[in-house]
Amino acid sequence: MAERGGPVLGYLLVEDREGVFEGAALVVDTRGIPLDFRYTEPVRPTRLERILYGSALDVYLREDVLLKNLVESVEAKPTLWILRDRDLLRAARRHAKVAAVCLESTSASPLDQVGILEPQGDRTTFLLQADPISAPFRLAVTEDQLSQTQKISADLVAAAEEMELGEPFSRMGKALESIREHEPL
Amino acid sequence: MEEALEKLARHLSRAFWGRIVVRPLSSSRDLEVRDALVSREAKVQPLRAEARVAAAGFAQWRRMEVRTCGAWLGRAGALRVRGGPLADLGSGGALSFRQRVKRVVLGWRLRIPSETERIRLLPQERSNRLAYLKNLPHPEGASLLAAFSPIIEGLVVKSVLDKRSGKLWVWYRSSRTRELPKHLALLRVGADRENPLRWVWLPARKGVSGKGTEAKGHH
Repeated sequence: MAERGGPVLGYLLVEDREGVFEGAALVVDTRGIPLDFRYTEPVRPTRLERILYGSALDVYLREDVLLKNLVESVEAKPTLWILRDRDLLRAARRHAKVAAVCLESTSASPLDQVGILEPQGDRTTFLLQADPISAPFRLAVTEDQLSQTQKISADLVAAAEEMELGEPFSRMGKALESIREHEPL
Repeated sequence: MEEALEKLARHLSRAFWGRIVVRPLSSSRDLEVRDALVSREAKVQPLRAEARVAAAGFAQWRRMEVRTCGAWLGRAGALRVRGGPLADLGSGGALSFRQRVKRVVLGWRLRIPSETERIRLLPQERSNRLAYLKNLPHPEGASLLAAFSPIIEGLVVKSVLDKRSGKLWVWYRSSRTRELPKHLALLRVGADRENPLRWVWLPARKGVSGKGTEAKGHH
């Protein structure tokens, strides 16, 4: 689909709404055009399951059930997975065969130059100026990806030339809403 | 004789003490006193026989193999009642419940449908980047109201400005193109009083200059 063979971005979303778990994966080309979109049917743990799994239920469902199955289910394989929820980053990295990052929008002042990575509090968090027309993103990677951070940021900068990097999350939310309306929970 | 003596005594007492005859009160006229209280004592009798359980065998589970309650109830002598056995349970366990162990299947089988075509119908959103594009070159005499970017002009099927959120919704077609993305700017043109607002495409890449081309048909 993409004329210039840029990065293929995969977006992962996992939500918990009043004890009902669901998730979605959207793979787009650098223009933001969808290549693959999958969503999970809602998972409602029973009372017995809540008792048996206890406090591990939430993590198990989000990481080992929803995230893992979503990553494995997409046919158009992305070169980079992007998440909003940092708690899921390690699990995404574990299940995916490619790089996985957490990308959050900020209201920080723009950095001097596009592509600059400014280290934050810990070793794995950076501010990334992905384009000249928005605030920098907060980029988080796992420890094992620290050596790839420059390559990852270069891919994100390349994608940001043609699309808004955080926008697909909004589309996924709308798609899930639309699906819920047609298939009420 | 006795009577004569009594008569003499009476005569003498009258002579010496006066004429009043004093008689002793006879004890033969005792009064009968009856109990007049109306309150009664209520006696309560239970309608059913009192059964007191001395000990129950299945309660001693800490020293026993963990099984269902039915197994312990069914065990002969498991239930003892003060004063003798409640029932002869026998070795067969006449009172035992049927043991049914239900297997709980853990783990979730997810269905993950694909809705790629459905999400392709949704527009992409572009935020107003005017705060970062104040120095964007634009036609003289016009003022910049909004600038949305990046947008690939050749792929746009339709675009709509959502006045509530201030965002631009852009529908793309999925065709191939080598075209570079641009800014889509909303200008106010002072000279045209009837139609003061104009949408204009402006180059986005550094080093690409120009006054822009008017956007038609999409908005």
